[in-house]
Amino acid sequence: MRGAPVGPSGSVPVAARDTVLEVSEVAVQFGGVRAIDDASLVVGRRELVGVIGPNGAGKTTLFDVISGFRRPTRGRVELDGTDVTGRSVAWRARHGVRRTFQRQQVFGALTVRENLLAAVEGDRMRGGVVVDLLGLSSRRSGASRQARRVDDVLELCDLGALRDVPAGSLPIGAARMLELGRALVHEPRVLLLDEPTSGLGEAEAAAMSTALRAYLADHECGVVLVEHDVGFVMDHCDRIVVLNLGAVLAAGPPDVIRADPAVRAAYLG
Amino acid sequence: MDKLIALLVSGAVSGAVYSLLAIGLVLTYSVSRVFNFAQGAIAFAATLLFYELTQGLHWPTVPALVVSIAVVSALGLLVNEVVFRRLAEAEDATKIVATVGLSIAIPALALLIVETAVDTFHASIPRGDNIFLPPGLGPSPKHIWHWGPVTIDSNQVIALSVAVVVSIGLWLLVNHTRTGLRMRATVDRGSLAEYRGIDTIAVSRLAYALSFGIAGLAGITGAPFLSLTPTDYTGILVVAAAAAVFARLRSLPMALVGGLLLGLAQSLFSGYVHLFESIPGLASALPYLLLFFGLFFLARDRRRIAGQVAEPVAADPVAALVWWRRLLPWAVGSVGLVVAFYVVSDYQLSLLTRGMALAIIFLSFTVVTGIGGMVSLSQASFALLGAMVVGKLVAGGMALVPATIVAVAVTALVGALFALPALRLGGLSLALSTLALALIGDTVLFAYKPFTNGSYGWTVPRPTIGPFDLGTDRAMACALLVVVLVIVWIIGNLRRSPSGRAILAVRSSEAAASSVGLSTARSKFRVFVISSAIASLGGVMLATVNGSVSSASLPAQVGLSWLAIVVLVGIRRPAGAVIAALLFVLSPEIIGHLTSSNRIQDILFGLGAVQLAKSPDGILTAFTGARTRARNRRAAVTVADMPVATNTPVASPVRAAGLAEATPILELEGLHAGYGAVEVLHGIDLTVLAGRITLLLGAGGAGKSTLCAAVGGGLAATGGEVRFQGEDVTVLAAHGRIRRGMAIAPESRGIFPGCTVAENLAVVLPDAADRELAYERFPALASRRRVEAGYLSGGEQQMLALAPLVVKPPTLLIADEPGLGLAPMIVDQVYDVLRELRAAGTAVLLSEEKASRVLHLADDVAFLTLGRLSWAGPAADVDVDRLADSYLEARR
Repeated sequence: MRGAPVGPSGSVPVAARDTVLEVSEVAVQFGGVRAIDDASLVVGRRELVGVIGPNGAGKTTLFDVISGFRRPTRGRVELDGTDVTGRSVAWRARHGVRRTFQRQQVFGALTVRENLLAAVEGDRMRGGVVVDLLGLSSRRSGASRQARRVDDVLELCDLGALRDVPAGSLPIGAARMLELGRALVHEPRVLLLDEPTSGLGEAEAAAMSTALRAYLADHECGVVLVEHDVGFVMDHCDRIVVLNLGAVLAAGPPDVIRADPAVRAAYLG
Repeated sequence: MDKLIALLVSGAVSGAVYSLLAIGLVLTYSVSRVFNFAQGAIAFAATLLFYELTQGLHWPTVPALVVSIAVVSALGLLVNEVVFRRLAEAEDATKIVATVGLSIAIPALALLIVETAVDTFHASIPRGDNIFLPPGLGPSPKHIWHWGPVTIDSNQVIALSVAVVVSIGLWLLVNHTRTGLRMRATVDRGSLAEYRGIDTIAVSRLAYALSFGIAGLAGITGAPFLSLTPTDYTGILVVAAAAAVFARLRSLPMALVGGLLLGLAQSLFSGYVHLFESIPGLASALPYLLLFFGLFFLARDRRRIAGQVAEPVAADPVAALVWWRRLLPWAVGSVGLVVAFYVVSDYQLSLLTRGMALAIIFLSFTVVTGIGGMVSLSQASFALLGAMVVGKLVAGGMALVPATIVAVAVTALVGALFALPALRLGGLSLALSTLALALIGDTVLFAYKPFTNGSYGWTVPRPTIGPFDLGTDRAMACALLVVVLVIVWIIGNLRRSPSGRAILAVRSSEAAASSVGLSTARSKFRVFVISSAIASLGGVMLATVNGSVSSASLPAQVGLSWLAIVVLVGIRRPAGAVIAALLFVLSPEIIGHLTSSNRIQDILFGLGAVQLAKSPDGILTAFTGARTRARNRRAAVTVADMPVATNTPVASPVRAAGLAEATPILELEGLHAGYGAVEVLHGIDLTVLAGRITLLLGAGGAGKSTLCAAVGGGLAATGGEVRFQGEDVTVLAAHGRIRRGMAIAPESRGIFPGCTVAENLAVVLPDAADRELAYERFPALASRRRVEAGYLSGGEQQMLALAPLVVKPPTLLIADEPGLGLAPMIVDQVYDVLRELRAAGTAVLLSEEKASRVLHLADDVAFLTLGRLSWAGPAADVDVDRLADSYLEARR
């Protein structure tokens, strides 16, 4: 468990936590239904926050608001103190917000290595597309640095042997790992993991956990983890936020959450 | 006034024909998600058959009509079996190309049969091509009636009345028969229809037979106003497509109205609007404009916006080869071609030279569709635009090379405009919108005399570049080969560059691409700009080879057959485009040695469509695939070495002591199931007994819905066995299980939202007396029987889904979280129904996430944890506190 700058209690004041992501009083409405109702979330620069809650609690909607896929009807999303509520998904991604998806979405038409390259190089390089058409892209400044990053992540995620395999043909375990790598390769400030172990066996989930811990050991990154596998969340997170019916029901360190009667009641109905 | 009435009458008549075709398009699209470009070709084939029967064999009208319609309806069944059914899950390009292939092949086949009958068997029937205004169903010569200001002839009366009769007949069938109800239920929610015992495959067969029959009727009644050529019939199809788009490819009445309005609008527009007389084509472009704007505003692809759908795209197997393995075929091929340029006859050389120019155009498909994943039907227009600009500039005194540069730049700009719809639309809508734009170009821009020099067109000379005089075909062919190789090299560079990776990433998943900072708009613009530039360069080269360009030389429709042949050979790789171009120019020559008929090439397109339904990646991949597959298998082995979930069965089947007399209704043995590569259930053993409620508990994502779907037949099991009343039903379709006595209340409300309350009940309870019983039990439903179920409250919807069960208790009910999202009072009513069923002897499998509310209801409990049963036993033995622990410590 990483304790580093965050106290084990999770009740550390916001200022001391050195916030990287702050979601304040966000509400999302679909038609007449409130999917999220006044949810707030604060994530520290080196903190791992788990978000759990029963079906329909609004976990994925919250993720969509943070990553920019959905505009909230109310509330703000701040990245390092800057209001990014109106920014596009791509803009946020370029400024350090990276995510994985509940239903895995690797780039099937690219190889494993190309998936990572696409995530680190972006599409607005100097010289633009003409340089690419003439086959000179590898001479761009920064290209070799990006290639090294990709190699590092391939090693970190244990995907080296699969580097030239088309991502579309990967089994679920490797695909989920690749999605993690794709989110990490750009060295994000905020990492959003949406059910990274869904559909995985125990060994695969353990491998995922190892890679994640290894990365976080020497990178500064705030992580938000949504997961149905509550055990995985309890094992990894410094702090847990419980959502129920779109609102925050409880927040605190794993042990406190586990014993919280309100949380137990929410799960049991 | 007289003019207005005449215009209204003729507009209504053509509108009637459009309506019939549009109805057919909507009918087949809504059941199979395939937009049938061949609808016009079917109309043509039926009309030709009718013409030959009446004019050639002198059959009376009625039997000829019946036989013609019966033949095309049978054709509908056949085509549904061999092509459409296999295409439901295919990529958009594949679907489009398969039906385009049919639209080329079916008329050719029909004409070939007639010609063979005439030439080989000396039948004394007309040859049947290019018949202008053939007689229709009415008397010949036609009767003409004058009613005050109204003048109408017998053919017009017949066309209008057929449209009316077909519409009423179809309306009666759809709204007032059980078959129609099944069709509407299938269209409304296909997955649920199977759960309600409807054989959706049979429904789709019927839809195709009907749709093809109606297309035949449209063709035959429309014949007196058209000339009997495949081109004319394909032309009216595009108008019908606009009507179908206005109906959002869903509503039959809207398709009817849309077709009529289009016919009227077109007629009035051409008769009255003189505003743009200097632009002669504008009136005929009206339906295309309407098609384009209709798509732009109505067909926005919301799935893409929501970003939750990832298109599964197979990777290009060649990309991973070492550089010399990639280059070798190109080197060998180029040397072979150069040798060929020197040894073949002058005529064959001229074909090869044309083929080289076409190859450049075809390579533009590799970029836009093969790499970009978007289907563009406007590549022929880009080619023509480039050639026209060059022709105009050269005529004005500019040299060929600078003129070409200007032309390519102009076309690239236009290409960027064509990318605008791509930002909103995807798949079929995008393809249709590019077709509409191309046809607008044809009817407006390329009909504008100062730009195209009328029907003469422009002369385009062969250039002299430095010391090379390209005046001879041989020199030209060599030069073009160099251009082809340069473009192939450029496409290869693109594919391996950051821009290319961004394009492929956007194609694979727009949501994921934007989540790593890639702009989808930027990628799509790049794709369209590069591909239109390549197409226009090819167009210029083709004009140079031909020595001239005219608007008739490259009509927009030609783009359809080009795309078809490129996809058939292989759209993913540049080699596919080059081979396709060579095939395209050489196949008439090759086939010419075997047969004198010029129809065979067209018919091969149809066979291609069948082939494509089998191997969607094209012949090239099927051909060279064996080696790659072997390599992929080796890769798969490496992948398989990665650790995967091991099967650790925890639970024993639920079999409480002292219940030996209860009959096992449902028995699961080692059931595995999942979605694609994701296995969700890792071996479930479970028994559900008659007259007992078995509660299936588990956290979200544990696999409860998957288990329910696998038992109900909505999801195929990947291993293990499902036994229902002792019978193995593991491979039985859902409707088969329902007919044996299962009932399913799926996770979302089990209703057809577009059908009324009464119709929802009628799907399951055909007997009116049974429905009355249901109303007695649920009076709230009785007062709302004519209301569409989608407008009911959540609670009423759930009652509607459960009502038939109370009237006719099933042997087994699978209820997947029936209380989800409902008010507590309603949930209690739902549970009352379950108790009622239990008392009637039904075995109930009830899946719930939240235990406390249902625990008192259950007789047996099975607890699902991440795809495995972690605990199973009688409800009395459940320890609530341990249950809470198992939610909160799901894995460890």
